[in-house]
Amino acid sequence: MMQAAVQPAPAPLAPPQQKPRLHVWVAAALVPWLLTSVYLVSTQQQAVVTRFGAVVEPRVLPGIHIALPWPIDRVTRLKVQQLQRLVVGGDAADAIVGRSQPLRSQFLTGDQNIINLRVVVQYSVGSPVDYLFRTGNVAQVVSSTVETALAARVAAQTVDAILTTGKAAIQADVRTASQRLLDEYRAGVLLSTINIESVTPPPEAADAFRDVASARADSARIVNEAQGYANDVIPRARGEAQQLLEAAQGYRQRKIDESQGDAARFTQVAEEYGKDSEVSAERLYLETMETILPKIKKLIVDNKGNLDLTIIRKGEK
Amino acid sequence: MRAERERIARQYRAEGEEQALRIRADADRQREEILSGAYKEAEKIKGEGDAQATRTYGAAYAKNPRFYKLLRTLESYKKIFDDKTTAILSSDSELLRVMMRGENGAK
Repeated sequence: MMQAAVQPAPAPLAPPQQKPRLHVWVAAALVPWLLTSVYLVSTQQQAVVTRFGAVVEPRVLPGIHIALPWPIDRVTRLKVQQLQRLVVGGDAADAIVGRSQPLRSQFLTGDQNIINLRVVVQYSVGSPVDYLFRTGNVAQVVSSTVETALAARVAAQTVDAILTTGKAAIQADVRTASQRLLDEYRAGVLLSTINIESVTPPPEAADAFRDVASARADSARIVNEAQGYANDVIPRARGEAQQLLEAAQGYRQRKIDESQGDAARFTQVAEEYGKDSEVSAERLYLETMETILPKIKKLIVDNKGNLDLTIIRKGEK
Repeated sequence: MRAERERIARQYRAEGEEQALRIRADADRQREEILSGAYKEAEKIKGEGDAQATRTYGAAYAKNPRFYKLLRTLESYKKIFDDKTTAILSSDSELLRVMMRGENGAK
């Protein structure tokens, strides 16, 4: 019995061993397939899910998500935050090698001058769906849009403004204009910066442009020198004026003081003189003569006017 | 394009020159104004001094014009006569009267 019970057991063991094998194979094939419905969007990415080509999820944010398995749903991930860079008007690499792309980089200014511009555009993905499905070659669209806006903007400016002060304004204007156009096209692009990297006149006229720049510098220098002259002359004149005034005030005070001193002295002397005028006058006269006469040559004649010349004759011998 | 650039360069230089001349002329004008104004003021002040001095002298001398005349004349003598002067003195002059006539001359 035991034997009988045991005996038939091995017999059916073999066929069931074959059957699960098939299931395992099927399961083994199914599980990875089912696993394609789980997908990961990393932090810098966003994803778009399409079902048989139609968009079902336009913007999937970072994280783990589930969709229907491939090929029903397809997940396209985009690095939305990553800035992409392109150059309008000649390639950065071209500049290094020394090659120029004249046709692409030349723009016509408002005053009929030609100018070479190289502009670096940086952009990121604004709308993943539009970015992926609206346009075939996004870089091409961005490039030509920016070029168009740039051409329009440069044509509204004089070459001098572009070369000197107008650069920042042009950058800002081109950015807004290009962004508006790109939004119209629904290119799904977000312009980050538009940077005019180089502005150069055409090489054939470069020296003429340089001369304009140096003329501007000359002009500023002349004006500065004149300003320097003014800054030197005017304070000096103010100083001189002050000097004149001070001198005049000194003069006034001196005259007043002198007159008062003289007057006081005169008044006192005159008072004494009044008491005995005869004697005083005599004394003053003689005193004066004493100081004068020693210095001068004297000839004495008598009152008849006969001049005695003997002394002179002796002196002549 | 070159000609246009040259024109602009010339224009910049000329404009600079213009502005510089303007600034210089303005500075010179200001200088003249400052100095002439100061001259005017200074002369006015000096005039005040002279006027007041004249008034003071006048007031003092008017009290005794005879003495003033004497004093001033003697003062002038001191300035007029120097070592290049030759004086011809009459023997009966005031100065020599005593010398010529003795004690009587002093009267």
